[in-house]
Amino acid sequence: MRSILFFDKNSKALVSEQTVQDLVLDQTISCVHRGAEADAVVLRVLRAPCTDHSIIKNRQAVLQDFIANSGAIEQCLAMCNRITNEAEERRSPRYRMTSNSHGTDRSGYILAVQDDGEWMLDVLQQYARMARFLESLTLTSAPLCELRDWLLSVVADDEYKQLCQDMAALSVMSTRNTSYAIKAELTEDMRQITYRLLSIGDRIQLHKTLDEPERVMRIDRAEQLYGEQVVITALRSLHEYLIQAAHLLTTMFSELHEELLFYDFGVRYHQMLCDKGVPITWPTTTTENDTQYCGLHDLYLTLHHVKPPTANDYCGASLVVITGANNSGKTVFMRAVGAAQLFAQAGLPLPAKEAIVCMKRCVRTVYAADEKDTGRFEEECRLLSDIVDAVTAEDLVLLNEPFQSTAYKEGGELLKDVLEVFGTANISSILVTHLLDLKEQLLCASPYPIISYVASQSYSFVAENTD
Amino acid sequence: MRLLKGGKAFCSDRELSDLGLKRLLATVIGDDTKPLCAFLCEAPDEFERKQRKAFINGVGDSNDQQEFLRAVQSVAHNMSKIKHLYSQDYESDVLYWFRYAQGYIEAIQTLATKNFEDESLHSERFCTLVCEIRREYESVAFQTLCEALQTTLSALREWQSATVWYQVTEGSFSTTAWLPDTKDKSFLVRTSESIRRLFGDAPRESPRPLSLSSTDEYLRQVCAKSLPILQSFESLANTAKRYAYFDFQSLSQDIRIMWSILALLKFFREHGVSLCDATVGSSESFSITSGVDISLLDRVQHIVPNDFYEDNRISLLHGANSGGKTVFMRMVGICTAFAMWGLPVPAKQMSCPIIETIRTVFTMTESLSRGRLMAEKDILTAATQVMNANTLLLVNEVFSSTNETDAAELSKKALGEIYEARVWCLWNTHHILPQYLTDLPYATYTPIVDEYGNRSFVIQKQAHTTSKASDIAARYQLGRDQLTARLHERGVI
Repeated sequence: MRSILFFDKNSKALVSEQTVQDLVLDQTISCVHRGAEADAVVLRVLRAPCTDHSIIKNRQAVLQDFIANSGAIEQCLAMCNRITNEAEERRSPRYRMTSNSHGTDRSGYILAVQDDGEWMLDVLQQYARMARFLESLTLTSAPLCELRDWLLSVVADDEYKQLCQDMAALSVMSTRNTSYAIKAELTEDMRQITYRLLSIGDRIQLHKTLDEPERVMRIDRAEQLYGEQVVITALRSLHEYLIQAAHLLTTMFSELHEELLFYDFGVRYHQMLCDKGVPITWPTTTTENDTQYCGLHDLYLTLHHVKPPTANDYCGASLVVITGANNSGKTVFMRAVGAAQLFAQAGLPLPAKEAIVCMKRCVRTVYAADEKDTGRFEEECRLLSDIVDAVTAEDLVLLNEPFQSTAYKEGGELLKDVLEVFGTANISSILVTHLLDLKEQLLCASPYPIISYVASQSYSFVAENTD
Repeated sequence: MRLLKGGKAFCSDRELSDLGLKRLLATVIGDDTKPLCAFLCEAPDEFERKQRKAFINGVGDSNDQQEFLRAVQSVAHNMSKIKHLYSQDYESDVLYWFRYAQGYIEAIQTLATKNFEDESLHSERFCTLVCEIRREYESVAFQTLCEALQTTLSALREWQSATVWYQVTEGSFSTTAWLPDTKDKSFLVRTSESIRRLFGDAPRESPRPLSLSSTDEYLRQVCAKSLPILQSFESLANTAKRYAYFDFQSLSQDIRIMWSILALLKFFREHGVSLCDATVGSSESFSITSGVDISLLDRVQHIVPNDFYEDNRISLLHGANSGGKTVFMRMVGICTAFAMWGLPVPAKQMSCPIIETIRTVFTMTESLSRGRLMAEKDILTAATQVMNANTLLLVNEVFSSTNETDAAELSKKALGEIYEARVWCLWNTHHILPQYLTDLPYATYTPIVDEYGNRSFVIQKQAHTTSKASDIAARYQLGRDQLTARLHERGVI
């Protein structure tokens, strides 16, 4: 299977559940209305930020292809959906119970094998349909082109054609005739069917495992010699093999289906941004420069509200301090930067004029905590301590007004210590605070670059210094 | 009649939740706390408080009374079971009323003839209940109902002896039943099902097979015989509707609430909490000795009791983090609430003025639509709009999301309004408020910290202390040196 998302499903989610909630990522995703399954896939991708430039570029290119070929994503999804749903139905205990309850009835098994043949043929033809459909599109992205070429090579292969013929023959197998159209070959001991399906490399082949053709016996001959039970055993084995074979063939569609869900979200998300009339940019990722956004809108508010929120420019540094009056949009500004970071690293476009994103391994948040058994202050200390246990120099830490519940002076001193140590360790942080003294202290004595943003009017922020 | 009467609105779910009572109730009495919470949101008047106190104490101390109330509950349960046997329009079903009358008569007879060994423990409320039931038992209405039931039963016996049971089959429908004068199949099924429920599944003799298509003559015969029994059922239904008025369901609800309260009090005693009867309204000051925040009982082994003696209407709580300020505030709120509900108070002694409402304004969570500060301002405004001299207002760490000067100004303004309205108020804050409140009379309470910096969780009137934030931060290794060492150890620095 050629991946078009390059995402390891088993990769660990680095971004915590709490951060997802703090950055309202789950609600942002659900604004796009692509269903719970798509939301889960997107959230999984966002929670494992990609730090490979080429993968991000490839994702962007694939998404751009789908955007350029209107309706292509829906068509691809529909193709995969049909096979995935049918395969799911066939795996359900109810279906297995019905299809396995033939007992010693030969005609029952023949019907089951016929059904398997029809299903396999349908799956094989879907490969061809998918290949033809991708061929009809104007594709520029490498992953989609590779997928198309691979599918075309599969369907052009002799083995594929032979398999189609075999399955077509199986699907019309007669219940009356003892001489079956399919050569269901039996080994000498009459117990093991030799029609096996193996996956070799990227090719799917129906492979006859017998090395010694002279030992092959036609099924009607076997019946003559050993009685009907042998045929029933052979048919049952064939049925089981075909179930496994179908599972192998449909896996491609189920895996592709999951990846397409992500792009389906991406296309719809892009469309929503277009509808809102905000500028859209495909972010450039970097590891050397600091993050820079020009005219960045908060994702959640952009998607959720009729009118897009105020756009802001942002320039990253070792420490960014955001201050301003109450209800001036400090939290929203920081959230916009945090969410944009994760969206950019997922390969999605951003509602901004321009975006250069310094890739981060993880985004972590410390928001003012709620009152719990230990008290708010202690809860925030615990949160921060957990972060210190996991943080690396490649992470971005967002601190939203922590330590409010203690005296200003003490809270400020504690924050100053934490931020200075983070700065020394090269950990990027963004701090939202109303402690103006703290900001002054940090700006005066800092050995590392600090940028301070102050709320001006109508939710816009101005950089005070860019040293 | 009602065993536990409500009163005026005293608090809301928010207060119960802020005081930690909702969670505690869920721990002690299980998931279904709604009826009790709804009950606790109201506070009774002086008369009802006394009646309630005597009733709950009486039931708690007397097995006799507990047994009687369980019998009442069991009766109510049986009566509601009868209701569930029938469809939604049970009130128009004569069979429902037949069953209901049987259950009702049996219940009243059982309860009215019950004897009590220890008469001296009976509270006035309990005596009223027993008298009401006995009066009902001796009433003419009840006798009329009994007679109507007897008449119906004898008519039923006569009808049973004169009716033939048939095994009726038609398609997939098959039942053993008598048939009324109708060809409406749904009615047929319903009625035959009702009769079957009444007399059980097994017929008195083997049923004769009968196809539904040949029932015409049978129907005519049965209808002629069943007319008197139908009339008798109708008559009984009318009598029961008119005379069986005793409301067991409301009684049962009250008794359920009372069991919950008794379970709660038992839980307190098991955890060694001293309970006392509070004196309400005799003085214009608060006096709580060794009060306990019982919301911590299921989480903390030892809860430090605290005293609160105050005639100042405004008290500021101020001092070390995790020193027990919020716990102290909850303790005052809980003790006051229990006193107003007419329940034993978790303290050694308590007296307080009459408090008609309790309002809490605790730190709000930031929502997407508005900031924390706005939310806190709104809730405080809402609370101050309804407060009067008989309100207890508990304010916990509000305005912490703005700078110190603004927070102090906002607090000062709110406290000014509170003082004007003569509200009883406990205001918990880490701000240095006293310097801003020079023109208001207030008391200051702070957690006591010993010479080694350990918090004792004892709250007393005391001068300003530090919040000990650095101690807590050090415990989590967040000091500058500790942080550097931790990051260094992990190779980040």
